[in-house]
Amino acid sequence: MKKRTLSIILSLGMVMGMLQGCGNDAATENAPAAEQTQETEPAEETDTATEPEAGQEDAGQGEEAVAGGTFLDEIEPDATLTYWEMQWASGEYQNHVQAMVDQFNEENEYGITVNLEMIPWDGYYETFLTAVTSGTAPDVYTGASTAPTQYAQMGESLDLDPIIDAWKAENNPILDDIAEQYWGFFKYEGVTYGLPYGVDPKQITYRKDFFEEAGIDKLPTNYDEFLEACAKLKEKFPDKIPCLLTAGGNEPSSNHMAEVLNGLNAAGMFDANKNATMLTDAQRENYEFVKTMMDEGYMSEGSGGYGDADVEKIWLSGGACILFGRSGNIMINTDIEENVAVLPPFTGPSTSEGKYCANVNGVAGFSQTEYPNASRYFLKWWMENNIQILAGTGNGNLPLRESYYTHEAYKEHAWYQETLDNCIKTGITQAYPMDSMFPEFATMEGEKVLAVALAEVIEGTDVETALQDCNDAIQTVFDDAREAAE
Amino acid sequence: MKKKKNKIENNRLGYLMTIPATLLILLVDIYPLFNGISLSLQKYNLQHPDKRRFIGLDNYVDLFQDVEFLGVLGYTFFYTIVTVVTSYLFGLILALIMNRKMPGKGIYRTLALLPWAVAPSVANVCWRLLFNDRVGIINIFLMKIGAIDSPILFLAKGDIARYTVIFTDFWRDFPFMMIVLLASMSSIPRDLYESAYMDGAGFWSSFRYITMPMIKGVSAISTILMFIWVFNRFDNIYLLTGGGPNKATYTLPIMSYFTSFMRGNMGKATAMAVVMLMVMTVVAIIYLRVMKSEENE
Repeated sequence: MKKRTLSIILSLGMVMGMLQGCGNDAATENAPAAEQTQETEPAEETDTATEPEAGQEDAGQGEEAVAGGTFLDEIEPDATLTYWEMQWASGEYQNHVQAMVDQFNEENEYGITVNLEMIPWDGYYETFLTAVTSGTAPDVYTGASTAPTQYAQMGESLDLDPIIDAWKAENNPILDDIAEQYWGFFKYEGVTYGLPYGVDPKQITYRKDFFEEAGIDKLPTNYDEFLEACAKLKEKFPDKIPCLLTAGGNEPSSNHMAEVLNGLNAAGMFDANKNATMLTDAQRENYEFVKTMMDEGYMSEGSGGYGDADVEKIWLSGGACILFGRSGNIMINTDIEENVAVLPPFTGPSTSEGKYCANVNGVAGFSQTEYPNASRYFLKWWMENNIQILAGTGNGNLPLRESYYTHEAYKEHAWYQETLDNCIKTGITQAYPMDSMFPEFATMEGEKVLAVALAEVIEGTDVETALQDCNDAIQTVFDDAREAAE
Repeated sequence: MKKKKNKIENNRLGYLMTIPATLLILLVDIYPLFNGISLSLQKYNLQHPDKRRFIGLDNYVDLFQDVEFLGVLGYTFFYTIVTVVTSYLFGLILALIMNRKMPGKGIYRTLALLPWAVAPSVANVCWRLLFNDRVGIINIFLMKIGAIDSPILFLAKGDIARYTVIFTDFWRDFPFMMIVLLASMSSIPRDLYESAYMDGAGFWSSFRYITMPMIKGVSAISTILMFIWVFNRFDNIYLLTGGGPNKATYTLPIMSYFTSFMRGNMGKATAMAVVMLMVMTVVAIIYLRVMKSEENE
């Protein structure tokens, strides 16, 4: 009998393991509200016409100019901070980040020590969520673009308005160095919870040599001309994919073509009231455009199953003429680089100016920190000195600071300048038409809800049904979030 | 009297020795189990921890009224059963072949075991490239030999992707079946086959009346264990399709993952996990009964 009981217990133990990951409820029940920081009187905004040279440190010049009344007066001395940096690049990237951290640790006058921890992208979402809900979040971090507002909603993000106020008080040129549309991106309920520094451009690149061989002497400026160009490419290169994209797989890239289409035709997938808006004429035009590309064989039927690795292999091997919805930086330092260029954004029927999508990335802090002002101080310094972890490090982020593009690392490849001009200066953000990122976007991105219409049209579903399904999927995310908040 | 005292002392020592293991089981199994069940009875969203409250069986009612969940539950059973049955049958055939005297048997056995030894992450990266419609070797080969006119969209079409993920899981699982069944077949006395042969039995009769009865117990246990593994398996589908295209390859573990970490809905996600637990408990009971009958035999 005892033996039987023991076997039952052991066997049950075997199947109980599945629930182990679901038992985390520590420290969330009484999550602290977002840290309230001192209100500072913002200085009047002034024009700062002088742009700094790439890599020029902005710190110091400003601090000396600050008369007081900012968070810089109340920095906790001898603080020890944990800094989570995402693995934005492989190879030597960690060493570049460590060098920057070492520089801060040596130079800062408050005795602040920053400890760097590199976080892999695999499972990053769970890593952050688990850390925050268990009260073990880092003090500062870079991460997914959705994180600052997502954690702000949970009351876990650090208010960074004091940094903006300090920059204003210093007349810091950084405020003009980053395009205006990006400064509001990490605001939640009017408070800044993240500082935009990097961008993952979602645009269209093309093979100049293939275009030339196909007799395309004028780059397309609208949807019809783009389809005509695809027709010529298909005719000239029947074995190549005219337009290559990812619409499936396990990568967020599935969402990116939808985001590019939004920009080209000024079409939102949701509105400011958090309702799905996929049933508009602009979206209908977008997905009729996709359907035409599919029906005419301008896209691969297999697009719905491509992962990033598939796309990279096809693109780099010369198997496609246009790369849609990716930054295109995978070709840098490859054999095809000299033949690849960024296609200036063309314009959909519902707008007068098509735009690309600049997916913003930021740096932020958690309100769990014991040292809010020391964290802000580090973040401020980080924003002013981050050229050393962006330029020439392989970092997938391109800088949002326009002055950085005078750095040698960005001057030696034409693609960087083309991306700056065609995407970064004028692009919409992934939250378009909203000015700021919102927490529900993390769900939509993670579950590839934004790509539902695209995936269905590629699978052969009619446009109306695909739009309706995508609309329902987006609306469900919003409704679930509302229901969760009740 | 002294002997009895020694026995009590020995028992006490035995119980003391089990304490660390018991505590570990309580910590990593029992506590999460009850905590998980408790969570499934709550409205608990990670984005709104302040709204957490007891809602009874509402999460379960929602689940069983959710057409998507029922579809995923059905596909999870389909995925599991087809994977287990095909792995068993192929493993059995290979075991029968390997059980015969043949040159280079060790090499074949090692080759057959390779899929089991390859890390799932590595295997799935390879599968993705192999299944690609343009540069994948499978489509290229089939088109070269004229077997197909246009590429098979292994991962891009939902209805095909559902079988593709089953195939990759089968590829990973059949070596286990083969090795377990081969071990069981190796222990069958040769005399039995020789006697049967003398009595005029052919391959089929020997297989039906000697091999199958002798490996029945191992077959039952290995298929039940594999059912549990496959039903709970997350990595194969997550790495290959991420549940796509368009949720076509969602299984319960994938759906539970997205519900908990992407939607933050821990209550509903743990309710799904409890449903899985119930299925697994039924399977575990069957397993225990089979084990017991084996012991009795």
